[in-house]
Amino acid sequence: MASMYLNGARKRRGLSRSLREQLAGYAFISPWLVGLALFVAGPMLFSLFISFFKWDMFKGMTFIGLSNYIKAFTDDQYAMSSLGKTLQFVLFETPYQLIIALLLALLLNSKLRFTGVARALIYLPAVLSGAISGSMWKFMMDKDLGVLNYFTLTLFNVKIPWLVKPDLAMFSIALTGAFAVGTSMILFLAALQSIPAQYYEAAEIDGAGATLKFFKITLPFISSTTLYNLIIIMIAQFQCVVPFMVITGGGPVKSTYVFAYYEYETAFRYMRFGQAASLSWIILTVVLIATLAILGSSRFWVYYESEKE
Amino acid sequence: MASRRLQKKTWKAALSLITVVVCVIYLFPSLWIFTKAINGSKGLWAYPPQLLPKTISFENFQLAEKNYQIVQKLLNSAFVCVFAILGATISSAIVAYGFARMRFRGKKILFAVLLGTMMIPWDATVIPQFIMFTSIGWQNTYYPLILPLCFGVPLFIFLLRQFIMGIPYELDEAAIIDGCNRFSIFTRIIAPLLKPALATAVIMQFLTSWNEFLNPLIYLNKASAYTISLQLYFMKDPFKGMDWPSVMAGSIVAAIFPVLLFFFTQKLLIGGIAQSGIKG
Repeated sequence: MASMYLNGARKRRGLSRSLREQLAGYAFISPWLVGLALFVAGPMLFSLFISFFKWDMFKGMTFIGLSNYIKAFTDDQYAMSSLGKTLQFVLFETPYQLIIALLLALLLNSKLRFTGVARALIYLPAVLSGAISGSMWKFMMDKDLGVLNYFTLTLFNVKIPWLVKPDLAMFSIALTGAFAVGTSMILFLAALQSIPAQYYEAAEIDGAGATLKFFKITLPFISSTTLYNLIIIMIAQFQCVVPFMVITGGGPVKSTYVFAYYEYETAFRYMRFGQAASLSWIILTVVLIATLAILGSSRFWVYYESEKE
Repeated sequence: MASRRLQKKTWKAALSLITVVVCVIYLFPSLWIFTKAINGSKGLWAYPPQLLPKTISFENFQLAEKNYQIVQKLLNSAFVCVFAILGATISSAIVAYGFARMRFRGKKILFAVLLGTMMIPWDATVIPQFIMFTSIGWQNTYYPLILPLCFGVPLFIFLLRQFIMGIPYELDEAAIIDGCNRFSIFTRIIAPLLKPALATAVIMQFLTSWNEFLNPLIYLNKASAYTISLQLYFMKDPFKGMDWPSVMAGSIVAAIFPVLLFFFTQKLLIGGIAQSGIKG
């Protein structure tokens, strides 16, 4: 609607006015343009530049070409093993969070009397900082005195070595991700609530059962939200580092030392900026490829607004 | 007919039960820390765990204050939040007006770029930004936590733009006829109408800045400058591990502000999040 008015306005005005209007437009968005150059584009270019250098905080910079990258792939104690852990984590955590967010949204979309309160309570853990929820899980997952093992011991007579057993620690941290799905849940809920009731009514008249309605109406209708959530969750899992820092510190025996953690320590603990920058570009490339792959696949399973209307 | 109604009733009862169980599961960890925080330092590792506190004591809070000066850390966080919120909302509103109302070449592409930057991982910019900010000597200052926000936050720009586009353009036109320039239209007409959307942005930025962990960890290494979120991570002894009584009390003190804010403003926050997904 606004653009219609603007079109009219433009025709009535002279060129100089339209030019002035253009300049005013740039003026309004200039803070963001400056910020983009100063804090996003500039730094990214700089980071690409220094990734070709050997640069420790206290020594000078030496140009070494692709050596940082080659080292990461061939001769680095942690780069590939931590990348493997990150991929493992992402492959588990993304569908896990996506499905839990959807299930919670479906539950909250049922017309029960107290869904408003339930929505607030389920969202609650999402407003806690990673430092709080991390130490909370660490406390509760203590092998001998933690409350989770008190429950498992009472109910099933087993003690689970949540964070002590190297093979299990990664999985334990991954499980806690169920409490961080608030945002995706809200987006799913909004999408579910936007499905017109007539579709379900028509399907019911045709005798469709709950399963059929879910797969033929609900899922296609929310598919663009699913795509958005899928990408957002996946990117977040690639970067996920705070739970690992707070809950396990990368241990036991480096079993939860994910790529982002290695990158963090390379940069901010060992101050090897050139190498850390190359690591960040490696993970950026992986994230980009994964995102493009999902976007590419989306035309097979996402139904866009225009088709719906 | 009767059996179908019965079926519906059982289904509803089952759903209610599941909802209650899920709520209990999601509430439990927070409640658990709360009971531990007010339980005194001895009740912390009682075994079997006391599901309800037998004694109530503020010992843990006193310990946390004595050992880690948590009141100071709360004030540090509040300081960062106030300036982060001011910087983020004011700049985002200005940029949003430009994208919503002005016509200029490349607007569509620039807006696509803006949406794209929301997806850029933290890794991409954190190292060069660190080099940049430390080379001007900004370690142990709050500038690195605030300044980048003063150039518009993409999510807020998006939300505010959507909101402005819902305001009738006749208002702007009438003001133009009255001789207002674009900036005074923005400050006098649009900005006052933006209140609900701005409130959402304020809440979101508060939660982000209050809970922020990695940036404070990178830039602040002087204990007196820690934010509360960062202080919680450093409530530990290199030999004895976590100082749990202080962590419990500190967590409650740190959580109380976001939690209260969330409960009182959840419609705004949740409405804002729901809006942010409408991109098609």
